[in-house]
Amino acid sequence: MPIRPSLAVSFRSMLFLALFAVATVHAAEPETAPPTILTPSDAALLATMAELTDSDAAKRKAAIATLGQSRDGRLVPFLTDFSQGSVLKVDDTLAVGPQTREVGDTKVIDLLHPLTRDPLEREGKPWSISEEEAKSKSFGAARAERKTVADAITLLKLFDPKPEQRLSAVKKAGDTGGEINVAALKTLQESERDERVRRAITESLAIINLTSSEQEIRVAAVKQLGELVSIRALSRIQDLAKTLDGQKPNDAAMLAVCRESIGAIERWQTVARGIGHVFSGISLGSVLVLMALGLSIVFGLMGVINMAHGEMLMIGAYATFLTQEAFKWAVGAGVLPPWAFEIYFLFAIPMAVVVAGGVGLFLEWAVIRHLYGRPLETLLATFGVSFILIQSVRLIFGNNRSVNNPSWLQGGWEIAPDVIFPYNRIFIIVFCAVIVCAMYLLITKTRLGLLLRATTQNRTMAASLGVNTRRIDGLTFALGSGIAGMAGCALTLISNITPDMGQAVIVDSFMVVVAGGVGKLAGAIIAGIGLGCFTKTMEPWFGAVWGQVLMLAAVVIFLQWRPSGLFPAKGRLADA
Amino acid sequence: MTASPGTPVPNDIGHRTSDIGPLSALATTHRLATKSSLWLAFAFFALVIPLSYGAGVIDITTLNQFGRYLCIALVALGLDLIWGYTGILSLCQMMFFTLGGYCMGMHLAMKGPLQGDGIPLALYVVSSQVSGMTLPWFWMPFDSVWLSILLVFVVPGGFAYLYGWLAFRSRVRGVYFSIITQATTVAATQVFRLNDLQLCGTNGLTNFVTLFGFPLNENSTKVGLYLASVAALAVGFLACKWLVTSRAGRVLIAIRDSESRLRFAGYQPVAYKTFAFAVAAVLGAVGGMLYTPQNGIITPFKMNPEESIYIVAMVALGGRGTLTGAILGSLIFSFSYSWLSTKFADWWLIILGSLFVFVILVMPDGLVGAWRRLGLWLTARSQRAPAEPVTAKETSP
Repeated sequence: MPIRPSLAVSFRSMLFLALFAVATVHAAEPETAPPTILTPSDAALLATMAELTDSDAAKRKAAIATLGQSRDGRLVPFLTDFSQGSVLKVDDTLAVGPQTREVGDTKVIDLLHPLTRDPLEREGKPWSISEEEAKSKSFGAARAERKTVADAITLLKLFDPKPEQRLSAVKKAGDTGGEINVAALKTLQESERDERVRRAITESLAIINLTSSEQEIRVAAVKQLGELVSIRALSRIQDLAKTLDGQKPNDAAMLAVCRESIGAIERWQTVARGIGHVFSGISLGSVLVLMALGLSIVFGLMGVINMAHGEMLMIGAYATFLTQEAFKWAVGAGVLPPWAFEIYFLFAIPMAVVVAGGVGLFLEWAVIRHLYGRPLETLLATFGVSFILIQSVRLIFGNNRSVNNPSWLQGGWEIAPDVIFPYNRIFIIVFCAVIVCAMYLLITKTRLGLLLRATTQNRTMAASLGVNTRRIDGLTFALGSGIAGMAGCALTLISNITPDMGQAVIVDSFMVVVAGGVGKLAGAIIAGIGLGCFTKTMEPWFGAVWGQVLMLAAVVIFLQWRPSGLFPAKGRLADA
Repeated sequence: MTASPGTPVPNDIGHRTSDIGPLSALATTHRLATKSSLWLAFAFFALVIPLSYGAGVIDITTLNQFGRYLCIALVALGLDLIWGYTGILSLCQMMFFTLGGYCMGMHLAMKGPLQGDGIPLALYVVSSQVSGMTLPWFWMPFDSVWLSILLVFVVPGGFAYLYGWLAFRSRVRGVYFSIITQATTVAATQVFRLNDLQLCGTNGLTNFVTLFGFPLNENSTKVGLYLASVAALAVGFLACKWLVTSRAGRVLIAIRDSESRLRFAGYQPVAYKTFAFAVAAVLGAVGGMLYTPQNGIITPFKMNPEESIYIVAMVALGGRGTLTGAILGSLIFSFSYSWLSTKFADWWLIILGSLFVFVILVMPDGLVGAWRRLGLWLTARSQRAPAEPVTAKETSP
């Protein structure tokens, strides 16, 4: 079967990705494995925690402060519970009960250990109490203490073993300010190795210094923030400048420093935003490229515009969703180990291809082949198909679904301060690039590609030379649909899954086909990326709506200049 | 058309009175029905409906519903002209309808309740600046009803003319043109939904009170608007009939069947295509103009791409390239829409989609085509003429 090479390519790449994912998961594991045996210091911690129930307010406050200094990340959920008043003290034992469970008519709460969060046992059985009992035995921070508890939580997070957690805690500490935070930030600064966290600490300390009572410290802080091009501090410095401006006589030197810093930060902000827009434009554009690729190959071959192409994307997205649900179920039922959930996405990709390609094959067989040579009729029939598909999916799955990104696609790569490339978007770009390359190889290097090109160029001649053009049509249509399915699979990473999600993409994909020219790989890539970037960069200036209008106008004007796209067919093919 | 010399032409009534049989009687009935269908339809809408309202058989709501469906039929008529006869599938006809509707709606809003400094209520409600707001300049012309009606023709017609000229000049054809028009209506919907445009955003135009000084909530005005819709459809039908049978109409059909050959023969298809597109747009706009006062509200959602696709479904159902087909299809579609979409709300889109696929696969020339084939079959059978079925392919592309 000639289609094999492309599958081989994608399977190989998937295998590689799967290995990569497994490696990441394993590397992450040792850090999070919780110690279940209590160490002596845990006993001390528990003793301090017990002091939280003391009637003496000063003693309680001291206990909170001690816990805050303990640098033990496990205390964060406990203190959060304490702050919300849901810590339990049953028969002189501290416990937490985050989940209610129904047994017959009564609601019971299973007691968990406050530090390890393991289930507590009594007389060899899991220890649970009724909800009413839990209500009477719960206690928490008094209103006046909540601030102290929040400070303690921030402190604990500052010393979290994970750099991501530390980073957000450092930023929060900078926003909150206060002596405890300053002291903690300074302590952390000495031991911190992570470059980004170090920068954030400097930034946070400078932000806190902005409110200092001493003039020199303030000036230095403003200068430092300007050098750091801290977008986080921008509004604060602007406020400062505004107050200074209002004062009479105003401090001209200080104001000049402020303005200089504001200018530097704003310039950087423009650059950072621009890079961000271009980047998200590229990732959106690469999905459009995949869509346009399928559309344009099918159009080039059969002269058919598939209005249901967007629905192939939608079907791919739902296939991804179903794969996720299947993995969720399998992990929940214990069929698969928990880490398997992390790699569900790699199984979702072939699922999406097979399901969308299968639907495409059926559609070609049932409808399209009967309409050969009648492009406008095909367009209408596929409209009908798209209505049927949208509504059927809506009836089966309801309106709005979403897919949880696997944890290895969460977060982002901060290539420069405040310029973050989210991993899921990077993944989409790489994914699309791999598929486009595979398609290129498929079209130029395989037998199927050869037959496809021959049929596109001259159907009659190809048929007379023995090419089974009907079979080529079917396979190509399935291939185009399969690519759209993969696009849908990729799109789940950045957007919700709705029955009409295809409709949102289809118009833009058509514009890509129109601008890029039909059946041209290079045209589709350039037009797709170009239109994606164009929309995303126009959006902040003109708003999404006018961006779209501008894009449309640009395409219409572009067609005045180049009626058959960026790379028009030449010679005898030109007026085909 | 594969017409052998012995095949009778469908309209030679009473020619073979000696040949009496059930089939031949049916064939004669079919011929008579075909001949008189237009007069019957006109009499039904112009006389039967208003009279049965007068006699209390139907209520004003039904009459009003009929009126609105006739306005939609005008849009279908326009689409048939551009698609059925010229072979250009436009997917933005409801955009022209809505543009026409907005022109009339703005006038009606100006004559409705005003706020502050002469600001129509609908606009006032969605405005971000409440104090010191003045009427936007482009609302000014709509104070006059005649100017508004003129703009119903000029705005959508002019836009269609320019748009068509740009597109056809650069030889944007076939499916390319279809998808560009669809993108246009998507973009137009988005634009009209903006509050900043000062066209009342998603709320649309409403709070209509009077037209030509007649109160809109009175039944007599509603009957008047209904009769105006009947008249507009009749005039539109006759104009289209005249157009497609004229020499220009032959050129349009030639464009549909082989544009390059026409060009080689020395014709300039761009001008004809642009003209047909503009006429279709104006027909749609007039439909919108009459629809708005009867409906009481016009919103950007009428521009949604699906709405235009419904029009395409109407024409496909009735039969492309036949003006009666467009009107028949639109009326059947409108009625089944209002019935099915309330009764089977969940299944409606599936029914519609299946209808699309069914009509296109099984009866590509629509109901009128099926009716015609039935007539030909009946005549052929009743005369025991050639056994092979005669296909009427005359008007479908």
